[in-house]
Amino acid sequence: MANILLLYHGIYGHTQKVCESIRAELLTSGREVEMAPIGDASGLELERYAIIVIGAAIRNGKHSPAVLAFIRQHQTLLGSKPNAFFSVNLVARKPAKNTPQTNPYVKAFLARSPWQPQLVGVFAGNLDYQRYRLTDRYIIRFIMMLTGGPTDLHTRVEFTDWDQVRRFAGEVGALADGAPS
Amino acid sequence: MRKFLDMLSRHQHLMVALLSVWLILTSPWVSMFSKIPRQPGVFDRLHLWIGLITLVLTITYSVSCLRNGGWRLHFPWLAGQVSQVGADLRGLFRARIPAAESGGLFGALEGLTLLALLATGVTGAGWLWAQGTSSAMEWRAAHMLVAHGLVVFVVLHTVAVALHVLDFIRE
Repeated sequence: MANILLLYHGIYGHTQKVCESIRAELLTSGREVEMAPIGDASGLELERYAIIVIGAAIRNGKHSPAVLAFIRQHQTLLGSKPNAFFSVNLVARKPAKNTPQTNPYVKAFLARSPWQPQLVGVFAGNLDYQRYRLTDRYIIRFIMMLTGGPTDLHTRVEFTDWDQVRRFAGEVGALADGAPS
Repeated sequence: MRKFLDMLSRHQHLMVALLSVWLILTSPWVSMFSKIPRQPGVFDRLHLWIGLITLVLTITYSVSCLRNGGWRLHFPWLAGQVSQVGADLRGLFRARIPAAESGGLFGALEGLTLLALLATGVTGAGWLWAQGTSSAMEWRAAHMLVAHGLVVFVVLHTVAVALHVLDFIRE
């Protein structure tokens, strides 16, 4: 059975939650799945995984530099096996910006990344002002103001389409079926 | 203590930026030449102390930026990856703003800003170490030269951030 590694990078835990959902879906279909923050990846033997999936959230208009640094560092290894990437961002709450082809962050990521993932997903994130640190709270509120989103500081909305996350997990599973075990 | 260190680590960029801007803006009122005056003025004292604090923060911030492969984004030429910087430069000539993602031209610019910050701090500390000796004025000249370079990079970095905000609004 192919061993799947889910690496993630987020700030407030929603990307981890998306990863956990993907993991749960893959586990129900009997696959071996491990999950780790991308910052802990240096302690893992990446070669032993058949598939690597990277998930990253947007903060201050871009994915964390740690994600791109990891990709540049392990570019050859990533390209040598089936792989996938997904982005979690609030702009993806808009129907016109919720695909890899239309989401500006994913487009920017793909333009910048030397690694072109075989499978790309984009999921809408979670808006919970009270959980954010002060500076993040007002930066995100400013972005919401620009993009016509909720600006009430007591807003708590989960925009994520969990069916879409489960479909993506299914596609990762299909990649696993074609991967050498 | 751990909580305080975590908070410090999260806000390194903000603190380095604020302290550097303060040091630059108040530098016209600093009047130290070959040695610390017998009765240093308030701006002299603050320049010395805040400068030393900023140097320490710049070192810890640089380590945060460069570890876990981050150096590849800020100094792509060290990894032989200059094509992205070239592509961003060509794009700029066609009025195309580089992607907001890390790396590329703006990442390299951040790397140069870090280097200029470090050089400014190190030459400032060099002056402090050499003050009262014959080499103090050379350290001072070097400090002022790299500080002028730092101002240029800070302005370019600010322009890059503003361009990304504009790009975001446009998108």
